[in-house]
Amino acid sequence: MIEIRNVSKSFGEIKALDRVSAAIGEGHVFGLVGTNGAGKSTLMRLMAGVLRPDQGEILVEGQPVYDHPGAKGQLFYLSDEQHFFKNGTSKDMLRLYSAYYPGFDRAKWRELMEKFGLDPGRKVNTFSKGMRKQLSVICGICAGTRYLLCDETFDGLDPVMRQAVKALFVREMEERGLTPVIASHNLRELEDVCECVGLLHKGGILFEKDLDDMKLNIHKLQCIVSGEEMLERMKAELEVLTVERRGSLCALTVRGSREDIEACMAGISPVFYEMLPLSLEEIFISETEVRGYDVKALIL
Amino acid sequence: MTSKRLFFNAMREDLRHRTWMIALSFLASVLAQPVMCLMSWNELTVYREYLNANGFSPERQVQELLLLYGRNTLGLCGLVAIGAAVVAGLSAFRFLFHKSSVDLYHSLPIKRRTLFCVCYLDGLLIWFVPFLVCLGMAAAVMGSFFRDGSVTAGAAGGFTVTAFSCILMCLAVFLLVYNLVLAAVMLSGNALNALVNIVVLGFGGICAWSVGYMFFELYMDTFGSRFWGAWGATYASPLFSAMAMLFRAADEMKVMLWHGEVLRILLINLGIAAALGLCAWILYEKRPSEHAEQGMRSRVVSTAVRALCAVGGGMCGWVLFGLLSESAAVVWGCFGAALGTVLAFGVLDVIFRMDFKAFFSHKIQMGVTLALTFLLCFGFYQDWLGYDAYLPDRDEVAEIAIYQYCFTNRDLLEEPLEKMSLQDMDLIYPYLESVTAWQKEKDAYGQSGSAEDAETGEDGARRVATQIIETKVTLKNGRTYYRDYSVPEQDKEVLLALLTSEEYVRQTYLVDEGAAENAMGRMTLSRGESQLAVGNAEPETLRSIIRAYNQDLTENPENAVTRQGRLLLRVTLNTWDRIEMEIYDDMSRTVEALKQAGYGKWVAVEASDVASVKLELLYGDEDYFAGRPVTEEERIAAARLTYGVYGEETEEELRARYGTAGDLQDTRQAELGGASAVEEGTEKDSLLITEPEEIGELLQWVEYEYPNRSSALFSQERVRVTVTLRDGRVFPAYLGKGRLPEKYIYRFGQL
Repeated sequence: MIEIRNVSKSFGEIKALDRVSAAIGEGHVFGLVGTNGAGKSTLMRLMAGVLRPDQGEILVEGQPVYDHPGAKGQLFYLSDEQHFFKNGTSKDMLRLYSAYYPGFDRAKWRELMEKFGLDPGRKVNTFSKGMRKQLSVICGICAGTRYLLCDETFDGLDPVMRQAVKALFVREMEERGLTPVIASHNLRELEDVCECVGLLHKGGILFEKDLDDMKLNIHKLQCIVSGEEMLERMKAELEVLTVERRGSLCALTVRGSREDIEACMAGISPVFYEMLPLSLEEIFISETEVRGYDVKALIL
Repeated sequence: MTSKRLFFNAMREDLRHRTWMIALSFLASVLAQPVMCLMSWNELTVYREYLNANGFSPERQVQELLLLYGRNTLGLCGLVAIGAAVVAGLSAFRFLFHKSSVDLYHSLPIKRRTLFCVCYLDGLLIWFVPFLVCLGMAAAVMGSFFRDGSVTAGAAGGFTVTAFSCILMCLAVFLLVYNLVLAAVMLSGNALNALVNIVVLGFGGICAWSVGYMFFELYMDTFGSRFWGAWGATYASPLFSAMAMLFRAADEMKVMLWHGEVLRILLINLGIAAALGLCAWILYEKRPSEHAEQGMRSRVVSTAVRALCAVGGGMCGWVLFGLLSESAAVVWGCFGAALGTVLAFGVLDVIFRMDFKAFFSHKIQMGVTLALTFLLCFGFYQDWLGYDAYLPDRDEVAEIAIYQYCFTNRDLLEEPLEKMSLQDMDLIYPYLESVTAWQKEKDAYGQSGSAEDAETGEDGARRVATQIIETKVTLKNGRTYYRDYSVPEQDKEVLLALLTSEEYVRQTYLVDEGAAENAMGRMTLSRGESQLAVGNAEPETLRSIIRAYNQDLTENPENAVTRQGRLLLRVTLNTWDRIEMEIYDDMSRTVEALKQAGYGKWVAVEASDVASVKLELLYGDEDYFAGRPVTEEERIAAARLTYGVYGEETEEELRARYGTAGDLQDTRQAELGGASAVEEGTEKDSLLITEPEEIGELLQWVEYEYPNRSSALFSQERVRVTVTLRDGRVFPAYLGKGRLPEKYIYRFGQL
C-alpha cells in the first residue's frame, strides 16, 4: 500500500500540494485525476521518491520512499517525458534498468518488444513519441515492481496501443498483482481501466474512492417541477451538488444511492423525473464545481 | 540485490555511458606520457652526451636525465589532469541538469549517497586508470633508453620516488579541480551556470585579492608590496592554486615532496580538495530534484556571487575609466564603476535566472551593490579609513622596524623588517608622528606641494625631497602593519636618529666575522676605476678588517649612513649578500687595519704620484651663454654654482643674477651620468692644477669613489674632477660641494 500522509510541496512561492492524504491499495488500477496544475505530476514524483515533501510523508509498504532504496525498489516511475540516453538504443535502457532492478525480466522484455514491433537495436531518438511511450511502458512492466507510476502515459499512444497497454496492465495485475497508478486528465481513458480514483484539485485531494461506488453514489436527475417550492424541497431533502434550470426543466447532480433518491422523489412527486448515470468526466466537473472550479464560466 | 553488487552494477552502467571520456582521457595521457617521451628522445640523447662529456657518473646521469624528462612530463600530465577534472566533473552529474534525467536517476532504487559515490569514483577512474597505464608505457620507453644497463639500483629507487611524487602531485591537482567542479555543478541547475560557478569559485579569491591590491597600490601612498593574504587568496582559488602547485612542483622537481614547502602546499591543497569534495557531497544530498534546468536555485549563493562579482566589476570599471581619462578622472571613474557594477550584476542575473528579461529583476539588490561599489571606490580614493595617516597611540606601539636599500651596505638582506626591533620610544614615536603628519599634509595639499606652498600659491614651485622608508609597526596587542612612509627633508634628523641607532646599524651594516670564511678569496678593493681582486686573503686578515670596520661603525655610524664623509675606498666581500664596506676618512681603525694588511696604497693617493688635477666648469644652461663672450664675473658665478662655493651671496641670489647657469639639477645629472657639459666644454672651461702644493691641498678633499646608493635626504653633492697620475693613468675623482678653496674659484675667471 502507498500511503500519502498530509503531504505538502511548494516550488518557491507556488504551493503545488497542500496537506494531501490518500491511500493506494494493491491489486487494482488507481487513477489520479485533476485539473491542470492540480499537482498530479508533483504527487507522482513525490511517490516515486524524486522529490522530497516539504511536510508529511509518503510510505510504500510502511517505508518512507524518499532516498530509501527498499521502498523505491517496489515502484517504477514512468514520467510524462521519459529520459532516454542520447544516441542510446532500447538495449541501453534494458541494461540500465537491469542494473538497478534485480527482478527485471529480460525474457519478457524481449517478448514484449517483439510483440509491440520495436527494434531493440534501433536508436531511441529515431522512435516516434508513441514508440517511446511503448518502450517505457515495456520497461516499467518488466522491471517487476509492485507499483507502476504512470504520468500521462496514454498521451501519444494510438487507440490500438492504448488498448494493448491496458490489456498488459490487466494481465500483470492478474499474474502478479501489479498496481498501476495512472495520472491523467483524460478521464475517458481512465474510466474503463481504473477501479479507484483520486481527484486532485488546486493542490488538495477532493476525494479518493472506488469508481463503481462513486458512479453508483452520484446521479444526474432530470425532472420537471411544478413550482419553486418543489425545487426547494428537492434541494432540502437530497444532497444536490449542482442545479441547472431551463424553465420548468431542471437538471440536478445528486449524491446518494439510487434507492434513496427514488424514495425521496416519490415523496416529492414531480411532474416527470428520470435518473441517468454520470460519466467520470461529469462527476469530475460536478465535484470540482462544488469546490468552486467554475467550468461553465471557462467554457462560456 | 546486495548493496555491493548494486554499487558495482551501477558503476559499470555509468562507465558504459562515458566510454567517450575514457577514450579521450587515454588519448590525452598517451600524448602526454609515452609519446612525449619518444619525442624527447633526441633531446635526452644530446643531454646524455653532454653529461658524459662533463664526467658525470652513470648514476648521476640517469638522475639528471630523469629530472629533465620528469619536469616536462609533470607539467603536461598536470594540465591533462586539470582538463580531465573539468570534463569528468561536468559529465559525472550531467543528469542533474535535465528534469527528465533527474526523474529517471532519482527514482532508481539507489541511495543518493551511493549514486554520488558511483559517479564520483567513475570520474576519478576515467582519468586515473589511463594515467597509470600510460605512466607504465612511458616507464617502458625510458627503460629502453637506458637499455645499456646504466640504471643502478640507486637510480631506479630515485626514479620510483620521483614517479610516486608525480603521481601524488597529479592526483592532488585532479582532486582539487574535480571537487571544485562538482561543488560548482551542485550549485547549478544547468551547464552554463556550472561554468560560471567554476570560474567564480576557481578564480574568485585571487581576483578579489588582485582588485584589492590594485586599489591599495593606486590610492594608498604608504602601501608597500607587503599585502597580506596572497597565499590565502591563492588557496581560495583552487583552479589557480592547482596550476601554481604544479609549476612549483616542476620547479622543485629534484627534491619534490622532500622539500618542506612543496609538501606543505600539497597537503593544504589536498585539505581544500577534501573540503570541496565534502561540500559537493552535502550539496548533492540536500539538492532538490526540482533544481534541474533552472539557473541558480540557492538565493543566498546567487545573491552573494552576484554582489561580489558586481562590486569587483565596478571597481575594475572605476580604475579603467579613471585611468583612461586624465582629466575628470573621478567623474569617469564613477561612470566606469556604475557601468561595471550594473553590467556584471545584470548579466549574472540573466545567467542565474536563464531569462534575458531578468537584467533588472533585482533592482534593490543592484542599487545596494552599486552603493557598496561607490562606497569602496571613494573609500579608497579618499582614504576614509585613514590608512595612510594611521597613527596609534604612543602607549600602543611596541616596536618598529625600518628598511631602505640605500641605508645598508649589502645587496640582500634576509627579511630585515622581521629581524629588526627598534624599541626606543623616544626615537620611534617622533618618527611615526613625523611621517604620518607629512602624509596628512600631502593628502590635504597634493603630492607636489606642501601646506606652505599651497598657502602662498606656489604649488609645485618648491619640491620637497623625500625618502621612502619601508616600515613595520608592531603594536602591543601583537598586531603588525606595514607601510612605505615618505620622510620629508625637514624631518630627516628624526630618521637619522633611527638609522644610527645601535639596533639598526647592527642589523643592516655590521658585518658578521663569519663572512671572512664565506668571502675567502673573493674580496675586491675598488677606488676610482682601479680594482684589486684579492684571491688569497687570509681569513684572519679579513676578520681584522671586518672587526675594525664594525668598531668604527658602532662608534660613529653617521658618515656610513648618510654617506656625507670623504669616501676613500670600497671593500666588497663577495658573499651571497654581497657586502660593500665603504671606508670613510674618519674610520681610523679600518684604515689602519687595511694598511696593516698591506693595502695602504689603496687608502690614499700620495700627492707625489699625481701629475695634475683637472677642475671643470659646468654650465647648466648653455643657451644662456651661447653666441656671446662670457664675462669674468659670469665665469666665476658659474664656478661658484658648480662647486657650491657661494662666497658672500646665497645660492638663490647667484641663480637669480645668472639665470640658470650651474642649475642644480643639471649639475647632479652631470655628476652621475658622465658630465656631458664637461665633455663638451673647451679648454677654457677647465682649470688644470699641476703645482705639487696645490695638488696636495686638493687631495685632502678628493674622494676616489662615489657612494653607490645615495639617498635623497642625505646625499652629499659632489663634483667630478679628473686626476692624472705621473705614470699616465687617468681616473675620475670627486670633490664635495663647498670644499674648493675660493682662490680656485677666482682662477676660473681668469681663463
